[in-house]
Amino acid sequence: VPSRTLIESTLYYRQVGARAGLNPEQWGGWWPFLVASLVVYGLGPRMILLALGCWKLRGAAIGVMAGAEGVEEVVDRLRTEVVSTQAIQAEEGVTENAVGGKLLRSGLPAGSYWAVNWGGVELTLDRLKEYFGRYSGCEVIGLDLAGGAGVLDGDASTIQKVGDEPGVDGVIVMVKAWEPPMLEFLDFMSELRAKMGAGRKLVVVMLGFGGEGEIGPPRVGDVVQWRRRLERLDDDALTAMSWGEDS
Amino acid sequence: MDAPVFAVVGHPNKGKSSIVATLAADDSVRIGPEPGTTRHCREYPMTVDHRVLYTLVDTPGFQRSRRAWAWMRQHETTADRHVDVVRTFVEVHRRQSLFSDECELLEPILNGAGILYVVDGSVPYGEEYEPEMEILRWTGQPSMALINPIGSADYVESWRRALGQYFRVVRVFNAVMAEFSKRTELLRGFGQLKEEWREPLEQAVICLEQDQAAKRLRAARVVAETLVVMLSHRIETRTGAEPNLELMRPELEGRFRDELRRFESRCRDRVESVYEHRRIARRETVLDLAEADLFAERTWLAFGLSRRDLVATGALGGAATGAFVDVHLGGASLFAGAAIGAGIGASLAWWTAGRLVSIRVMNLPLGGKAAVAGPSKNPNLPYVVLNRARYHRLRIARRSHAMQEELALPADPHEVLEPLATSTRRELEAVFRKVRRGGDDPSRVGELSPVLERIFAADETAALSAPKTDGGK
Repeated sequence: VPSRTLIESTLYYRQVGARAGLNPEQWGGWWPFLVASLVVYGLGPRMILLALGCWKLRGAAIGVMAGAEGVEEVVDRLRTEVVSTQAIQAEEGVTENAVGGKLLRSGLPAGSYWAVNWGGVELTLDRLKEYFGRYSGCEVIGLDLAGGAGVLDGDASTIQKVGDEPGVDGVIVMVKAWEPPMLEFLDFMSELRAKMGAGRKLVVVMLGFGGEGEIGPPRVGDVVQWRRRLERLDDDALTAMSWGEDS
Repeated sequence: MDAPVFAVVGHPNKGKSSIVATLAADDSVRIGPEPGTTRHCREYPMTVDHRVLYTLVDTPGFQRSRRAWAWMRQHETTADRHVDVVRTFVEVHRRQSLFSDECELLEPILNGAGILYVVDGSVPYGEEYEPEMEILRWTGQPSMALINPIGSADYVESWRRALGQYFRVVRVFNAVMAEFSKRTELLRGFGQLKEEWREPLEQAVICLEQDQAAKRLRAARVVAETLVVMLSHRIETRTGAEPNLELMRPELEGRFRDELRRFESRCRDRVESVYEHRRIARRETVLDLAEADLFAERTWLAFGLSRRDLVATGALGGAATGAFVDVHLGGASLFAGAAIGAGIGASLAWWTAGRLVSIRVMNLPLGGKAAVAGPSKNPNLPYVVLNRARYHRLRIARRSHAMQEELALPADPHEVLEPLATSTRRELEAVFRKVRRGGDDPSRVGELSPVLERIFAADETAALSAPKTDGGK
C-alpha cells in the first residue's frame, strides 16, 4: 500500500507547480502498488479462471472418456505390452487322410493263414493257433515278424516267404491298434499284396493292450482310425477284425 | 542373437499338436484322431510387442522313420559327420513325396531348433520308436522328451527308461490338464537345454505371467460391467391411457429375465475371449430369477416430461405468481405469497398430470401409462451372478487350450468356491448399493473391477492348493 506522503505528494501531478511533478523519484514509489494491482485484479482472476477451466475440462474429458466404448481397451493397450503366442499362419484345410476309399469288410474268412507280427507284439504261434482255431475253418500255419525296429530287409524276406508259401490261402497281419497306421505299414501292405497277387485273402487283426503287458481288444477310436486308413488301400480281398471279436 | 526355436516332433497322433495348443494357448490348432493331421510345419512365435522371444514349430509326425534311418545308416561315416548325413538325407529327398514328412520335420532342427520329442505315456513303449529317436540323436541338437499321457493307462515309467537313453531331459507333461503354472515351468525347462536360451525364456515367462495378471484384470472389468448392467437394467413398455397392464406383466417379466440371461451369456463369451478360448462348447444352467416384485407401473407424459418435472414446473410458476403479490404488498407478506403459490402450483400440476394422460391434441395423446420391469431388487442377485462368473472365469483361466471337452457349469457354484471375506463383501455391498441408486454409471465399473480382481486372484490361489478335476475345482 503506498504511503500517505506518497499519495499526497503525487495527488495533483498535472497541477502547475505540483511538487511531485518536479521529482520523478517520487513517482517511482508507486511501482509496488502498480504491480500488486496488476497481479491481484488482472493476472490473478485470469489465472484462477484458467485453472478452474482446465480442471473442469479435464473432469469433463475424463467423464466423456470413461463412458466411451473401447476406452478401457485403449488404456489397457497403452499400459501393457501385447503378448502373443499364437500361430501366424492359418491352419491348413482338411488333409487327404479324411478321404476314405472302398468300405472295408469285417471278419475272418475260412482258410489256412500265415501270420505276420507287425511291430513286435508279444505273441507266440501256439497262442495264435489256439485263438484263431475258434473260428470255423480257420487255421494258422506259421508266424513271421515285420516292422518294429527291425531292418527293412526283414520285411522284404517276410513278404517273400509268405507270398511264396505253398498251401496258404491268405495272410493275417497282427497290428498294435494303439499305434497309428503309418505310411511305412501301408507300404508293407502294398508290397505284400503285390507279391501275393490280387484276390488272395489278407486280414488285418487289430490288437489292444490289457493289463500287465497282455494283449486285449482294441479301443473303439483306434479301430475307427485303422479301418479308415485301410480303406484307402482300396483292396477288395482285404478284411479287418479286432482281437476279441466274436468268432 | 536369434530367438530360440523348438520343433515339436514325434510319432503321428501322439499329442504333438495338443502340446503346441497348450504352450501357444491357441485353440485353433487342429487336434484330430486321424494320424497325420499335421502335414506341414506351423510356427507359433511368442512375441512381446512384436519382439520374438521364442518360436514353437508344430511338425508332421514321422511316417517312414525305419526307411529313413536305413538310408542314413547306409551313408554313415563317423560320429562327427552324423548331422551331415541327416542334412544330406533332407537335401536328397526334399522334393520327393516318399519322405516329405521326415524332410519337413527335420528341416527346422537342422536350422538350429531344439527338439521336443513327444510320446503318449498311456500306451506301452514300442521298439518302432527307436529309428526316429536315433535320427533325432544324429542331428546333435539339444533335446527334451515329453511324456504326454493322453489316456488313463500308465506306462510312464517304461517310457522314461527308454527315453532316458536318447534324450538329455525327460519330463511328464499332460497337455490337456496342464494349467498356466505348468506351462511356464515347462518353458523354463526349455531354457535349461542351452545356456543362451535361458535368458529369452526367462524373459518370456515373466512376460507371460504379467500377461496372465493383465487378463485377470480384464476379466474382472468384464464381470464388473456385467454386474452393473444387470443390477441397473430395466425395460419399459409405453401404452395408451387405459391399458390393462396386468396382461402385459408375464411378457414383460419374461423379456426382462431373458435380457439378464443374455447379459450373462455375453459376459461368458467375453471372458473366454480374454483368455483366448474361442471354440469352447459351454453348457450352463440358466440363471434362476424367481423374483416377485419385478413389475411396476408409471405414468409417462409427452415432451419427455415426468410427473416430477411437471410438479417442479408447476411449483415454480405458482411461486412466481405469489412473488408478484408479495412485491405489491411491499414485502409485508414475508414471501407467504410465493410459498402459497408454489404449493398451489405443485398440487395443480400433480393433479393435472393424471388427467393429461387422457387428453389428446391433434389426435396424439399427451401421456399414458408405462409398464416397467426391473431393476431387480433381489439382494442375492449380484452375489449369485458373481459366483457363477467367478467359477466360469476360474475354469477358463485354468483350462488348457488343448482341451476339447464341453465346459459344464453348475447353476450355483457357491459350494465349490471359497466364501468371500466379510470386508470384501462389505466393499461389494457398498458398490452394489450405489449401482441400485444411481444406475449404470461407468465409474461404478471402475470401483468394482479392483475388488473383483482381488477375488479372482484369491480364487486362483485357492484352486492351486485344491485337487484339480477337468481344469476346475
